[in-house]
Amino acid sequence: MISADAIRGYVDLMVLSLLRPGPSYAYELAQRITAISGDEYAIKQTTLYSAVKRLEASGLVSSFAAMSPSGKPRTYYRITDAGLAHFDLKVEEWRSTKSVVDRFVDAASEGVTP
Amino acid sequence: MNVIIAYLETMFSTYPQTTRLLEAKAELQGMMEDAYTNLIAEGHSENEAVGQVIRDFGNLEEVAPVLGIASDISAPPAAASPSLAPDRSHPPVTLEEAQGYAAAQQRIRFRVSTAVMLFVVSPALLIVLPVAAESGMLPITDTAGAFIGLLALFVLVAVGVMTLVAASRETAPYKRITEKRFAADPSVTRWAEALAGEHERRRISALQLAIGLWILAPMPLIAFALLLDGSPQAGFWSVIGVVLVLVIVAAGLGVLLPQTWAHTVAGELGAGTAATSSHDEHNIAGVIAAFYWPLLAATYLAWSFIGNAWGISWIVWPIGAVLFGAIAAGGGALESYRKAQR
Repeated sequence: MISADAIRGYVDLMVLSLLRPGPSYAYELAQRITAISGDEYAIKQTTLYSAVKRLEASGLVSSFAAMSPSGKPRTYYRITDAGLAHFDLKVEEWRSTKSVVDRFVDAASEGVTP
Repeated sequence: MNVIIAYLETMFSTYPQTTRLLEAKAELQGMMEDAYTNLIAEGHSENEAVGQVIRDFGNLEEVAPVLGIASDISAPPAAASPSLAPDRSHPPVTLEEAQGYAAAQQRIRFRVSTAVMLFVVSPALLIVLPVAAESGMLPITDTAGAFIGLLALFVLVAVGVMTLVAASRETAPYKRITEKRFAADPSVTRWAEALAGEHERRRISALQLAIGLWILAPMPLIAFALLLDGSPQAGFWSVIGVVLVLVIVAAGLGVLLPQTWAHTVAGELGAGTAATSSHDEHNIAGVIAAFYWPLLAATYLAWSFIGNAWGISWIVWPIGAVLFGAIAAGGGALESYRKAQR
Protein backbone atom coordinates (compact mmCIF):
# COMPACT_ATOMS: atom_id res chain seq x y z
CA MET A 1 0.00 0.00 0.00
CA ILE A 2 1.50 3.32 -1.07
CA SER A 3 1.32 6.08 1.52
CA ALA A 4 -0.84 9.07 0.73
CA ASP A 5 2.18 11.35 1.22
CA ALA A 6 4.28 9.59 -1.41
CA ILE A 7 1.69 9.88 -4.13
CA ARG A 8 0.14 13.26 -3.26
CA GLY A 9 1.98 15.23 -5.93
CA TYR A 10 0.74 12.91 -8.66
CA VAL A 11 -2.99 12.79 -7.96
CA ASP A 12 -3.41 15.75 -10.33
CA LEU A 13 -1.63 13.80 -13.04
CA MET A 14 -3.87 10.77 -12.47
CA VAL A 15 -7.04 12.85 -12.64
CA LEU A 16 -5.93 14.65 -15.79
CA SER A 17 -4.98 11.37 -17.45
CA LEU A 18 -8.41 9.92 -16.69
CA LEU A 19 -10.16 13.02 -18.04
CA ARG A 20 -8.23 13.00 -21.32
CA PRO A 21 -10.56 10.52 -23.06
CA GLY A 22 -13.73 12.32 -21.88
CA PRO A 23 -15.63 14.01 -19.01
CA SER A 24 -16.28 12.16 -15.77
CA TYR A 25 -17.59 12.76 -12.24
CA ALA A 26 -15.85 12.55 -8.88
CA TYR A 27 -16.96 9.10 -7.76
CA GLU A 28 -16.15 7.52 -11.13
CA LEU A 29 -12.69 9.09 -11.03
CA ALA A 30 -12.06 7.78 -7.53
CA GLN A 31 -13.23 4.33 -8.51
CA ARG A 32 -11.05 4.23 -11.61
CA ILE A 33 -7.98 5.43 -9.72
CA THR A 34 -8.51 2.68 -7.15
CA ALA A 35 -9.18 0.09 -9.88
CA ILE A 36 -6.09 1.01 -11.92
CA SER A 37 -3.89 1.10 -8.80
CA GLY A 38 -5.00 -2.38 -7.85
CA ASP A 39 -4.62 -2.76 -4.11
CA GLU A 40 -1.58 -0.49 -4.04
CA TYR A 41 -3.43 2.77 -3.51
CA ALA A 42 -6.98 3.55 -2.44
CA ILE A 43 -7.67 7.25 -2.89
CA LYS A 44 -9.62 9.07 -0.17
CA GLN A 45 -12.66 10.98 -1.34
CA THR A 46 -11.45 14.22 0.18
CA THR A 47 -8.09 13.81 -1.61
CA LEU A 48 -9.82 13.39 -4.93
CA TYR A 49 -12.33 16.13 -4.31
CA SER A 50 -9.66 18.67 -3.36
CA ALA A 51 -7.54 17.66 -6.38
CA VAL A 52 -10.46 18.19 -8.76
CA LYS A 53 -11.36 21.53 -7.16
CA ARG A 54 -7.73 22.64 -7.25
CA LEU A 55 -7.51 21.77 -10.95
CA GLU A 56 -10.75 23.62 -11.57
CA ALA A 57 -9.46 26.70 -9.75
CA SER A 58 -6.30 26.68 -11.89
CA GLY A 59 -8.41 26.39 -15.06
CA LEU A 60 -7.04 22.95 -15.94
CA VAL A 61 -10.49 21.34 -15.80
CA SER A 62 -13.96 22.82 -16.09
CA SER A 63 -17.14 21.54 -14.51
CA PHE A 64 -20.72 21.25 -15.71
CA ALA A 65 -23.87 19.75 -14.21
CA ALA A 66 -25.41 16.77 -15.99
CA MET A 67 -27.54 13.70 -15.37
CA SER A 68 -25.67 10.43 -15.03
CA PRO A 69 -27.00 7.39 -16.96
CA SER A 70 -28.69 6.29 -13.72
CA GLY A 71 -30.63 9.56 -13.62
CA LYS A 72 -28.75 11.13 -10.72
CA PRO A 73 -27.64 14.77 -11.07
CA ARG A 74 -23.86 14.99 -10.93
CA THR A 75 -21.06 17.48 -11.43
CA TYR A 76 -18.98 16.38 -14.41
CA TYR A 77 -15.41 17.51 -15.01
CA ARG A 78 -13.84 18.05 -18.42
CA ILE A 79 -10.16 18.65 -19.17
CA THR A 80 -9.36 22.03 -20.75
CA ASP A 81 -6.65 22.82 -23.33
CA ALA A 82 -4.55 24.24 -20.52
CA GLY A 83 -5.14 20.97 -18.68
CA LEU A 84 -3.91 18.94 -21.65
CA ALA A 85 -0.75 21.05 -21.81
CA HIS A 86 -0.27 20.74 -18.04
CA PHE A 87 -0.67 16.98 -18.27
CA ASP A 88 2.18 16.73 -20.82
CA LEU A 89 4.29 18.89 -18.53
CA LYS A 90 3.54 16.72 -15.49
CA VAL A 91 4.32 13.53 -17.45
CA GLU A 92 7.66 14.99 -18.46
CA GLU A 93 8.31 15.99 -14.84
CA TRP A 94 7.43 12.49 -13.61
CA ARG A 95 9.77 10.85 -16.11
CA SER A 96 12.72 12.96 -14.98
CA THR A 97 11.79 12.56 -11.29
CA LYS A 98 11.60 8.82 -11.75
CA SER A 99 14.90 8.63 -13.59
CA VAL A 100 16.70 10.70 -10.96
CA VAL A 101 15.31 8.65 -8.07
CA ASP A 102 16.06 5.44 -9.96
CA ARG A 103 19.72 6.41 -10.24
CA PHE A 104 19.97 6.47 -6.43
CA VAL A 105 17.98 3.28 -5.98
CA ASP A 106 20.07 1.44 -8.60
CA ALA A 107 23.34 2.70 -7.17
CA ALA A 108 22.28 1.54 -3.69
CA SER A 109 21.21 -1.93 -4.83
CA GLU A 110 24.43 -2.35 -6.86
CA GLY A 111 26.39 -1.38 -3.79
CA VAL A 112 24.69 -4.10 -1.73
CA THR A 113 25.15 -6.85 -4.35
CA PRO A 114 28.40 -6.14 -6.22
CA MET B 1 -27.04 5.21 4.64
CA ASN B 2 -28.46 7.42 7.41
CA VAL B 3 -25.28 6.91 9.39
CA ILE B 4 -23.24 8.19 6.43
CA ILE B 5 -25.37 11.30 6.01
CA ALA B 6 -25.28 11.94 9.75
CA TYR B 7 -21.51 11.43 9.71
CA LEU B 8 -21.12 14.03 6.97
CA GLU B 9 -23.46 16.39 8.82
CA THR B 10 -21.40 16.20 12.00
CA MET B 11 -18.16 16.63 10.04
CA PHE B 12 -19.48 19.84 8.48
CA SER B 13 -21.60 21.05 11.37
CA THR B 14 -18.93 23.19 13.08
CA TYR B 15 -18.17 25.22 9.97
CA PRO B 16 -19.99 28.19 8.47
CA GLN B 17 -22.55 27.07 5.90
CA THR B 18 -21.19 29.00 2.93
CA THR B 19 -22.31 28.23 -0.61
CA ARG B 20 -18.99 26.61 -1.43
CA LEU B 21 -19.12 24.50 1.69
CA LEU B 22 -22.65 23.33 0.98
CA GLU B 23 -21.59 22.52 -2.57
CA ALA B 24 -18.68 20.48 -1.27
CA LYS B 25 -20.96 18.68 1.17
CA ALA B 26 -23.47 17.84 -1.56
CA GLU B 27 -20.80 16.50 -3.89
CA LEU B 28 -19.06 14.50 -1.18
CA GLN B 29 -22.42 13.10 -0.13
CA GLY B 30 -23.06 12.11 -3.75
CA MET B 31 -19.72 10.29 -3.83
CA MET B 32 -20.48 8.53 -0.57
CA GLU B 33 -23.94 7.50 -1.76
CA ASP B 34 -22.48 6.10 -4.98
CA ALA B 35 -19.81 4.22 -3.06
CA TYR B 36 -22.39 2.85 -0.60
CA THR B 37 -24.79 1.73 -3.34
CA ASN B 38 -21.92 0.06 -5.14
CA LEU B 39 -20.73 -1.81 -2.05
CA ILE B 40 -24.25 -3.02 -1.28
CA ALA B 41 -24.62 -4.17 -4.90
CA GLU B 42 -21.36 -6.09 -4.49
CA GLY B 43 -23.00 -8.00 -1.66
CA HIS B 44 -21.45 -6.27 1.35
CA SER B 45 -23.53 -5.96 4.49
CA GLU B 46 -24.85 -2.53 5.46
CA ASN B 47 -22.35 -2.37 8.32
CA GLU B 48 -19.41 -3.21 6.09
CA ALA B 49 -20.50 -0.73 3.44
CA VAL B 50 -20.86 2.11 5.96
CA GLY B 51 -17.46 1.30 7.45
CA GLN B 52 -15.78 1.20 4.05
CA VAL B 53 -17.34 4.47 2.92
CA ILE B 54 -16.29 6.28 6.10
CA ARG B 55 -12.78 4.81 5.88
CA ASP B 56 -12.49 6.05 2.30
CA PHE B 57 -13.82 9.48 3.16
CA GLY B 58 -10.48 10.96 4.19
CA ASN B 59 -9.96 14.16 6.05
CA LEU B 60 -11.97 17.34 5.76
CA GLU B 61 -8.88 19.47 6.49
CA GLU B 62 -7.55 18.35 3.14
CA VAL B 63 -10.45 20.04 1.35
CA ALA B 64 -10.11 23.24 3.36
CA PRO B 65 -7.53 25.08 1.19
CA VAL B 66 -9.60 24.70 -1.99
CA LEU B 67 -12.70 25.93 -0.21
CA GLY B 68 -10.88 28.91 1.25
CA ILE B 69 -11.90 27.96 4.76
CA ALA B 70 -8.57 26.71 6.04
CA SER B 71 -8.63 28.81 9.18
CA ASP B 72 -12.25 27.89 9.90
CA ILE B 73 -11.63 24.20 9.49
CA SER B 74 -8.50 23.71 11.49
CA ALA B 75 -9.39 25.90 14.46
CA PRO B 76 -12.75 24.74 15.84
CA PRO B 77 -12.20 20.99 16.29
CA ALA B 78 -9.00 21.57 18.23
CA ALA B 79 -10.55 24.23 20.42
CA ALA B 80 -13.97 22.70 20.89
CA SER B 81 -12.88 19.24 21.91
CA PRO B 82 -9.57 19.13 23.73
CA SER B 83 -10.46 15.61 24.90
CA LEU B 84 -10.07 14.43 21.31
CA ALA B 85 -6.40 15.36 21.19
CA PRO B 86 -4.58 12.16 20.35
CA ASP B 87 -3.00 10.53 23.35
CA ARG B 88 0.27 8.92 22.40
CA SER B 89 0.28 6.47 25.28
CA HIS B 90 -2.23 4.21 23.50
CA PRO B 91 -2.76 3.56 19.81
CA PRO B 92 -5.90 5.22 18.45
CA VAL B 93 -9.05 3.18 18.12
CA THR B 94 -9.74 2.04 14.56
CA LEU B 95 -13.07 2.14 12.79
CA GLU B 96 -13.05 -1.67 12.47
CA GLU B 97 -12.68 -2.05 16.21
CA ALA B 98 -15.36 0.54 16.86
CA GLN B 99 -17.78 -1.16 14.47
CA GLY B 100 -17.05 -4.58 15.88
CA TYR B 101 -17.58 -3.31 19.39
CA ALA B 102 -20.83 -1.56 18.46
CA ALA B 103 -22.08 -4.70 16.71
CA ALA B 104 -21.18 -6.81 19.76
CA GLN B 105 -23.00 -4.39 22.08
CA GLN B 106 -26.02 -4.52 19.80
CA ARG B 107 -25.96 -8.33 19.75
CA ILE B 108 -25.80 -8.71 23.52
CA ARG B 109 -28.19 -5.92 24.48
CA PHE B 110 -31.16 -8.21 25.19
CA ARG B 111 -29.02 -10.69 27.11
CA VAL B 112 -27.62 -7.96 29.34
CA SER B 113 -31.01 -6.42 30.01
CA THR B 114 -32.50 -9.86 30.73
CA ALA B 115 -29.76 -10.51 33.28
CA VAL B 116 -30.38 -7.17 35.00
CA MET B 117 -34.13 -7.89 35.07
CA LEU B 118 -33.46 -11.29 36.62
CA PHE B 119 -31.36 -9.68 39.36
CA VAL B 120 -34.10 -7.20 40.16
CA VAL B 121 -36.93 -9.75 40.36
CA SER B 122 -34.81 -12.46 42.01
CA PRO B 123 -36.09 -11.79 45.57
CA ALA B 124 -39.77 -11.89 44.48
CA LEU B 125 -40.56 -15.44 45.60
CA LEU B 126 -38.55 -15.05 48.77
CA ILE B 127 -40.72 -12.07 49.64
CA VAL B 128 -44.06 -13.68 48.72
CA LEU B 129 -43.86 -17.34 49.71
CA PRO B 130 -43.23 -17.08 53.46
CA VAL B 131 -46.05 -14.56 53.85
CA ALA B 132 -48.41 -16.59 51.65
CA ALA B 133 -47.59 -19.72 53.62
CA GLU B 134 -48.08 -18.00 56.93
CA SER B 135 -51.48 -16.66 55.93
CA GLY B 136 -52.54 -20.19 54.94
CA MET B 137 -52.87 -19.47 51.23
CA LEU B 138 -50.36 -22.14 50.34
CA PRO B 139 -50.23 -25.64 51.83
CA ILE B 140 -46.60 -25.25 52.94
CA THR B 141 -44.89 -24.08 56.08
CA ASP B 142 -43.37 -20.63 56.04
CA THR B 143 -39.91 -22.18 56.45
CA ALA B 144 -40.48 -24.24 53.32
CA GLY B 145 -41.69 -21.09 51.58
CA ALA B 146 -38.56 -19.22 52.61
CA PHE B 147 -36.43 -22.12 51.39
CA ILE B 148 -38.14 -22.25 47.99
CA GLY B 149 -37.91 -18.48 47.72
CA LEU B 150 -34.23 -18.51 48.57
CA LEU B 151 -33.65 -21.30 46.07
CA ALA B 152 -35.44 -19.28 43.37
CA LEU B 153 -33.33 -16.25 44.25
CA PHE B 154 -30.09 -18.18 43.85
CA VAL B 155 -31.25 -19.80 40.62
CA LEU B 156 -32.28 -16.46 39.08
CA VAL B 157 -29.06 -14.76 40.14
CA ALA B 158 -27.02 -17.71 38.82
CA VAL B 159 -28.85 -17.61 35.48
CA GLY B 160 -28.30 -13.84 35.32
CA VAL B 161 -24.60 -14.14 36.08
CA MET B 162 -24.15 -16.92 33.53
CA THR B 163 -25.95 -14.80 30.92
CA LEU B 164 -23.66 -11.86 31.63
CA VAL B 165 -20.53 -14.00 31.52
CA ALA B 166 -21.61 -15.53 28.21
CA ALA B 167 -22.41 -12.07 26.83
CA SER B 168 -19.06 -10.68 27.94
CA ARG B 169 -17.38 -13.18 25.64
CA GLU B 170 -18.78 -11.18 22.71
CA THR B 171 -17.15 -7.96 23.86
CA ALA B 172 -13.92 -9.62 25.03
CA PRO B 173 -12.03 -8.86 21.78
CA TYR B 174 -12.68 -5.17 22.40
CA LYS B 175 -11.24 -5.13 25.89
CA ARG B 176 -9.08 -2.12 25.19
CA ILE B 177 -12.21 -0.12 24.42
CA THR B 178 -14.05 -1.12 27.59
CA GLU B 179 -10.91 -0.57 29.64
CA LYS B 180 -10.24 2.77 27.94
CA ARG B 181 -6.78 1.82 26.73
CA PHE B 182 -7.10 3.69 23.44
CA ALA B 183 -6.74 7.17 22.05
CA ALA B 184 -9.93 8.64 20.67
CA ASP B 185 -9.93 9.17 16.93
CA PRO B 186 -12.01 12.11 15.71
CA SER B 187 -13.45 10.30 12.70
CA VAL B 188 -14.35 7.22 14.77
CA THR B 189 -15.91 9.49 17.38
CA ARG B 190 -18.00 11.17 14.68
CA TRP B 191 -19.05 7.81 13.31
CA ALA B 192 -20.15 6.72 16.78
CA GLU B 193 -21.99 10.01 17.33
CA ALA B 194 -23.78 9.53 14.02
CA LEU B 195 -24.72 5.99 15.07
CA ALA B 196 -25.98 7.21 18.43
CA GLY B 197 -27.88 10.03 16.74
CA GLU B 198 -29.66 7.55 14.54
CA HIS B 199 -30.84 5.58 17.59
CA GLU B 200 -31.40 8.57 19.84
CA ARG B 201 -35.13 8.93 19.27
CA ARG B 202 -35.81 5.33 20.25
CA ARG B 203 -33.58 5.68 23.31
CA ILE B 204 -35.39 8.81 24.47
CA SER B 205 -38.82 7.18 24.04
CA ALA B 206 -37.60 4.15 25.97
CA LEU B 207 -36.18 6.38 28.69
CA GLN B 208 -39.46 8.28 29.01
CA LEU B 209 -41.47 5.06 29.19
CA ALA B 210 -39.04 3.56 31.71
CA ILE B 211 -39.04 6.61 33.98
CA GLY B 212 -42.83 6.65 33.80
CA LEU B 213 -42.90 3.01 34.87
CA TRP B 214 -40.43 3.63 37.69
CA ILE B 215 -42.40 6.51 39.08
CA LEU B 216 -45.63 4.53 38.88
CA ALA B 217 -44.01 1.36 40.25
CA PRO B 218 -45.23 1.81 43.85
CA MET B 219 -48.82 2.64 42.82
CA PRO B 220 -50.26 -0.87 43.28
CA LEU B 221 -48.58 -1.08 46.66
CA ILE B 222 -49.96 2.28 47.76
CA ALA B 223 -53.40 1.26 46.51
CA PHE B 224 -53.30 -2.03 48.42
CA ALA B 225 -52.08 -0.32 51.55
CA LEU B 226 -54.79 2.36 51.45
CA LEU B 227 -57.71 0.18 50.32
CA LEU B 228 -57.00 -2.80 52.57
CA ASP B 229 -55.95 -0.83 55.61
CA GLY B 230 -57.00 -2.80 58.69
CA SER B 231 -58.10 -5.92 56.81
CA PRO B 232 -56.41 -9.20 57.80
CA GLN B 233 -55.17 -9.59 54.24
CA ALA B 234 -53.35 -6.26 54.26
CA GLY B 235 -49.95 -7.78 55.05
CA PHE B 236 -50.14 -10.31 52.23
CA TRP B 237 -51.24 -7.74 49.66
CA SER B 238 -48.54 -5.34 50.73
CA VAL B 239 -46.05 -8.05 49.97
CA ILE B 240 -47.65 -8.62 46.56
CA GLY B 241 -47.38 -4.88 46.03
CA VAL B 242 -43.68 -4.98 46.84
CA VAL B 243 -43.18 -7.75 44.31
CA LEU B 244 -45.10 -5.69 41.74
CA VAL B 245 -42.69 -2.83 42.40
CA LEU B 246 -39.80 -5.12 41.53
CA VAL B 247 -41.57 -6.45 38.44
CA ILE B 248 -42.42 -2.95 37.15
CA VAL B 249 -38.91 -1.68 37.83
CA ALA B 250 -37.55 -4.70 35.95
CA ALA B 251 -39.97 -4.00 33.09
CA GLY B 252 -38.70 -0.41 32.91
CA LEU B 253 -35.13 -1.65 32.73
CA GLY B 254 -36.18 -4.16 30.10
CA VAL B 255 -37.61 -1.33 28.02
CA LEU B 256 -34.66 1.01 28.47
CA LEU B 257 -31.48 -1.04 28.49
CA PRO B 258 -31.76 -2.59 25.00
CA GLN B 259 -32.03 0.92 23.50
CA THR B 260 -28.97 2.45 25.12
CA TRP B 261 -26.19 0.51 23.38
CA ALA B 262 -25.47 3.06 20.63
CA HIS B 263 -25.42 5.88 23.17
CA THR B 264 -23.08 3.95 25.43
CA VAL B 265 -20.80 3.04 22.53
CA ALA B 266 -20.61 6.69 21.46
CA GLY B 267 -19.79 7.73 25.02
CA GLU B 268 -17.06 5.13 25.35
CA LEU B 269 -15.48 5.78 21.96
CA GLY B 270 -15.54 9.52 22.44
CA ALA B 271 -13.86 9.26 25.79
CA GLY B 272 -10.64 7.43 25.00
CA THR B 273 -7.77 7.66 27.43
CA ALA B 274 -8.72 11.18 28.33
CA ALA B 275 -11.80 9.57 29.74
CA THR B 276 -13.89 10.94 32.46
CA SER B 277 -16.38 8.51 33.92
CA SER B 278 -18.94 10.13 31.65
CA HIS B 279 -20.55 6.95 30.43
CA ASP B 280 -21.60 6.08 33.95
CA GLU B 281 -24.15 8.85 33.86
CA HIS B 282 -25.71 7.72 30.63
CA ASN B 283 -27.94 5.25 32.36
CA ILE B 284 -28.01 7.15 35.60
CA ALA B 285 -31.74 6.76 36.03
CA GLY B 286 -31.51 3.04 35.24
CA VAL B 287 -28.64 2.50 37.64
CA ILE B 288 -30.42 4.38 40.38
CA ALA B 289 -33.65 2.48 39.73
CA ALA B 290 -31.89 -0.88 39.88
CA PHE B 291 -30.62 -0.17 43.37
CA TYR B 292 -33.07 2.39 44.62
CA TRP B 293 -36.34 0.47 44.45
CA PRO B 294 -35.08 -2.84 45.84
CA LEU B 295 -33.46 -0.86 48.65
CA LEU B 296 -36.72 0.96 49.26
CA ALA B 297 -38.55 -2.36 49.22
CA ALA B 298 -36.13 -3.72 51.81
CA THR B 299 -36.63 -0.62 53.96
CA TYR B 300 -40.37 -0.98 53.69
CA LEU B 301 -40.36 -4.67 54.61
CA ALA B 302 -37.92 -4.20 57.47
CA TRP B 303 -39.90 -1.34 58.96
CA SER B 304 -43.21 -3.13 58.50
CA PHE B 305 -42.13 -6.50 59.88
CA ILE B 306 -39.80 -5.39 62.63
CA GLY B 307 -41.82 -2.40 63.76
CA ASN B 308 -45.15 -4.10 62.84
CA ALA B 309 -46.01 -0.78 61.24
CA TRP B 310 -48.11 -1.90 58.25
CA GLY B 311 -50.56 0.91 58.88
CA ILE B 312 -48.05 3.71 58.35
CA SER B 313 -45.03 2.25 56.56
CA TRP B 314 -46.62 2.69 53.09
CA ILE B 315 -45.59 6.33 53.43
CA VAL B 316 -42.15 5.14 52.28
CA TRP B 317 -43.50 4.79 48.73
CA PRO B 318 -44.92 8.21 47.91
CA ILE B 319 -41.88 9.82 49.52
CA GLY B 320 -39.61 7.42 47.64
CA ALA B 321 -41.38 8.12 44.33
CA VAL B 322 -41.03 11.89 44.67
CA LEU B 323 -37.41 11.49 45.70
CA PHE B 324 -36.79 9.22 42.74
CA GLY B 325 -38.26 11.75 40.34
CA ALA B 326 -35.96 14.39 41.79
CA ILE B 327 -32.89 12.16 41.60
CA ALA B 328 -33.63 11.06 38.03
CA ALA B 329 -34.22 14.65 36.92
CA GLY B 330 -31.06 15.78 38.72
CA GLY B 331 -29.06 13.01 37.06
CA GLY B 332 -30.42 13.95 33.65
CA ALA B 333 -29.60 17.60 34.22
CA LEU B 334 -26.08 16.70 35.34
CA GLU B 335 -25.61 14.62 32.21
CA SER B 336 -26.73 17.35 29.84
CA TYR B 337 -24.60 19.87 31.73
CA ARG B 338 -21.51 17.71 31.27
CA LYS B 339 -22.41 17.25 27.62
CA ALA B 340 -22.77 20.98 27.10
CA GLN B 341 -19.34 21.48 28.61
CA ARG B 342 -17.70 18.98 26.30
